[in-house]
Amino acid sequence: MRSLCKDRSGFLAFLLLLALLIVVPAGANADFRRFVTGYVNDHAGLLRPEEERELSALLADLDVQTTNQFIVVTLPGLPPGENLELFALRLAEAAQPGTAERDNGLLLLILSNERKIRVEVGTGLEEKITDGRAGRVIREVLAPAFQKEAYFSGIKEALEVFIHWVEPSYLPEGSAKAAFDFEEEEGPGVLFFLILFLLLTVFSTYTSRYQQRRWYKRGYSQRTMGPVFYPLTGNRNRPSSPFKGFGGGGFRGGNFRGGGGFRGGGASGGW
Amino acid sequence: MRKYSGLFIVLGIMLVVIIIFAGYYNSFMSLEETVEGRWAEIENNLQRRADLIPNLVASVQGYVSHEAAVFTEIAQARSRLLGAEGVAGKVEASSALDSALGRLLMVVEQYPELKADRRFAELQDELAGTENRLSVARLRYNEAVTTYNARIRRFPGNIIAGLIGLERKDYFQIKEEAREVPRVEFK
Repeated sequence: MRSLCKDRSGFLAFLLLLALLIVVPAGANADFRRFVTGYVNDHAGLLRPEEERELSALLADLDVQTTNQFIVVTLPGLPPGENLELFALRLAEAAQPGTAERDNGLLLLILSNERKIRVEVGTGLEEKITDGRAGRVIREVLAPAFQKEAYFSGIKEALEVFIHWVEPSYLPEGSAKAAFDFEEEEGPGVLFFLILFLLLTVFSTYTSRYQQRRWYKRGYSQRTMGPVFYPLTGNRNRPSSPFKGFGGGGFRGGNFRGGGGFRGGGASGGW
Repeated sequence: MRKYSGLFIVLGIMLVVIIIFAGYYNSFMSLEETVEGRWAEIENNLQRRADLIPNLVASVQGYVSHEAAVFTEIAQARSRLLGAEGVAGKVEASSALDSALGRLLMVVEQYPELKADRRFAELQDELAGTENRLSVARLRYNEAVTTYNARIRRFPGNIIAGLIGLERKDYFQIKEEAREVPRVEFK
């Protein structure tokens, strides 16, 4: 109570800050949504109008049939001082492709001047489009096509591969790049190393002075709030996006449903 | 009636105090839950990275079997991370692993045939993706901690927070030297 006056003005400042926090992301959000008005947003001019329409039709149909919302954004470059991964994440958070229940959105961001590519994968698709797979599509599909300036065929093929992984039965026979399923064999050394790491882990656990406390702490938080369960998949604890209330602006055919959580999954690359 | 009015006033004030207290208490608890949820996300990603390492090491091992020191270092850093506890402990163990991984990737630079290996490239993508998720989780955790710390230190919540013994949470800060190491380079 000593510094009541000071605290009260502090509280007022806090309220002001809160008001600012509410206003600022909304503004930033509007700024990001400017880039995303449809499934395919070719701000860099890499596609001809009819190519853009064809890709849009493909993605709109995918959305209607399967609820997966994939969006493509091309830009000449990043705004100054932006970092590719963070920019892609914020763009995806603002556009929110995918449903809130399934988080099945995907953003393909292409920067023509910087020759960079980012695939941002929604939380719900991370199992099907792993970071490694996303990276492989960039390296083996997008980059080679873009080097030949075949932007349309590169993007189309990449989208088809993603669709094939997410909804194997969606694409008609033959168009899906089934051959692209890469033999994900385990190397001979894996088992040996797993055992080595396991032994080291067990060893270090037993020598840990804090062993007892560790087991206690895993199950219970420091104060007596009852058991705290950390789910391994972590989806339950996905922080809700601050933009939730603003999502879902309508456009041609489909809506971005204002769901789609992202947490930085995907891959980056270039050509 | 008159002789009870004082009692009613006291009871009324007590009720108001309890309601205010409950409001603050509940908001602290849900903020704390957010912080813990986001911390769990960090832990998931640390675990995910730890799980990737045996595969990564195994795929490198075929090419560079003689660089044994790096592998031992990584194995030790990894098991230390899995045994570490608390925010500070995990942060420290994770930056030790970062620098060990960085050394491995530096070794890898000298082996062009390894860099051309598809499986290795994919594992590197997984590693880079996990690093990216980790930095997103870290950002979101730190945001939650900022909100929580601000709430428990502002008047009048600070009085209530003091009564129930809430303390400021640690931020997840990484050391400068650890920050640059595990980035995978793209051409």
